[in-house]
Amino acid sequence: MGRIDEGIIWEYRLSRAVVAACCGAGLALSGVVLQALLRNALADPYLLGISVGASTGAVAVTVAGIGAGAVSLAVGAFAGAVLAFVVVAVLARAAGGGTGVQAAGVIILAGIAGSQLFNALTAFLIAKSANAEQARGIMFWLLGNLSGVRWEDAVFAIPAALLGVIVCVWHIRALDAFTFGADSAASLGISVRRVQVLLIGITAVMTAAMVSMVGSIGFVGLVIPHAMRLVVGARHERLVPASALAGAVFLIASDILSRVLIPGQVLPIGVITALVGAPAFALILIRGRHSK
Amino acid sequence: MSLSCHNLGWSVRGTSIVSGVTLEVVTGETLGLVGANGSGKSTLLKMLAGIQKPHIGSVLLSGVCCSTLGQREIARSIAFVEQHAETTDRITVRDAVELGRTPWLDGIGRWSKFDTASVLRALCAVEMTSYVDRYWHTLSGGERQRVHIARSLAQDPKVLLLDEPTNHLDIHHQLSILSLVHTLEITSVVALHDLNHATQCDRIGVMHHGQLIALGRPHDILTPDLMHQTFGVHARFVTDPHDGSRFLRFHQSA
Repeated sequence: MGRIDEGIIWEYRLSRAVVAACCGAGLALSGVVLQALLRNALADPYLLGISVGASTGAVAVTVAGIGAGAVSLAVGAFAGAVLAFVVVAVLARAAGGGTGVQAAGVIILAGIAGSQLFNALTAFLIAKSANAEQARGIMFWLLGNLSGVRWEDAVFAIPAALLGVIVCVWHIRALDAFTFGADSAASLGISVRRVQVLLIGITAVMTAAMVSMVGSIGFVGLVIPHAMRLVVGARHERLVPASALAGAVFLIASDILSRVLIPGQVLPIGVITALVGAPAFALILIRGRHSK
Repeated sequence: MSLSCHNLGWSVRGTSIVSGVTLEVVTGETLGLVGANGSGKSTLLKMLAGIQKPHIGSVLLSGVCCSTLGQREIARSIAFVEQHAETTDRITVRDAVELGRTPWLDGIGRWSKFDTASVLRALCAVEMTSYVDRYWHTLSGGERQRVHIARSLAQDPKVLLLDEPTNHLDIHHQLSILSLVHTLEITSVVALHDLNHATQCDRIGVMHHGQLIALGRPHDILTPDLMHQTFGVHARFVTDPHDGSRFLRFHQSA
């Protein structure tokens, strides 16, 4: 192997694979946590408005020039993600509160409202400020893009993913205790409010970090947890590690596919995750139904 | 372990749901809670269970105020079976009952033989041992209810709170759950709709518009006047000529 090849593998391919693995694990775990705590099968990290907020932040920095070149796209995306999550959380709190089924419904509705708002802001910024070239670049980023990833990103991604894994593993019994809802968890000795704030907060930070690096990669947070439930069951002692691992492998594989599928051209990774993930998930759903 | 509450109250947006409830359940006693729909039985039970924080008043567990105890400490003493607890997760009966051990296990604490024994004992008590590997979604309403009760027993509680535990159960299992509660040597509070079941409790508390309007031995408390006031029905005790036991017969108010 030549020196150049070695350099490419070490500097570009490996860092890219590591970041892909961290993002996959982080997004899948976020899905596990949100589906467990909100008792809603449709919950995923993007539901809380996080990815849409990140997109708005990224577009504000690159297209509208907010920050005057002093802040990078990643910083803008992270700020946008956190801002959107805060908006959704404040709205959910103002509209509902409590810990019951109703509160879980309220946070999902607040997430939808927040997402719509930030989507509109993103579209507004693009329409107002972007030229055709910028618009194409932004579209590529919005669908997920690992092209620009280097070791500097991995330094950010690895701690974020590790933190998520450690906190989730520490709370596997608490996550299980939510099986029959928040009241039932409380009667099993779980401090419901503390666990909800901690775990949803970690989810928000983890997703914001991942999205600010690679853009919004859909499907992983929603589908990997469901697929893993059918494979290893609903108990979190198996579901948490299985989802983290499967998310990591799935995103690495999707990234490789995105580079080799069309020779000489890189597809947005979000396109691959959906193209491969949707039929795979359909198959698992059908098989899961027949096995029981 | 005794459970008591003093001047307990809870309201939502100015409407009082429960107010001024003071009672004490002594160790080993079974207290039946009766009252019409919406009379505040469930809210009272949730406050006693430490799930809903009272707006006014306090709950005492063997004389210790529950607000000074952590959620886990409360769960090691009090188990609660709520009315409609459902899940769409694909879990087995064993998974559901094992949840009852949660308060006894640390974050990633090891599962022990002792935990397994508790789970088996609980399944045995509700006659569900042959169902351990069945999936939750394949169970009938009554079977689910028995699994919930097994989960609460697996908690090894000293106080058991049950919110209408005989709902969905066939007559055999209604009677077996009630007799199970009576034979357990733990303090229990049971919300019941069937007044004839309630008469088997040591004492009865009657809830009406959020207040505890009567508390005492069943045959002293369930007077025709009180039942007309709280339930709007006429009722009288009838004696079974076979064994001399007394039961209630109801008819609609004219």
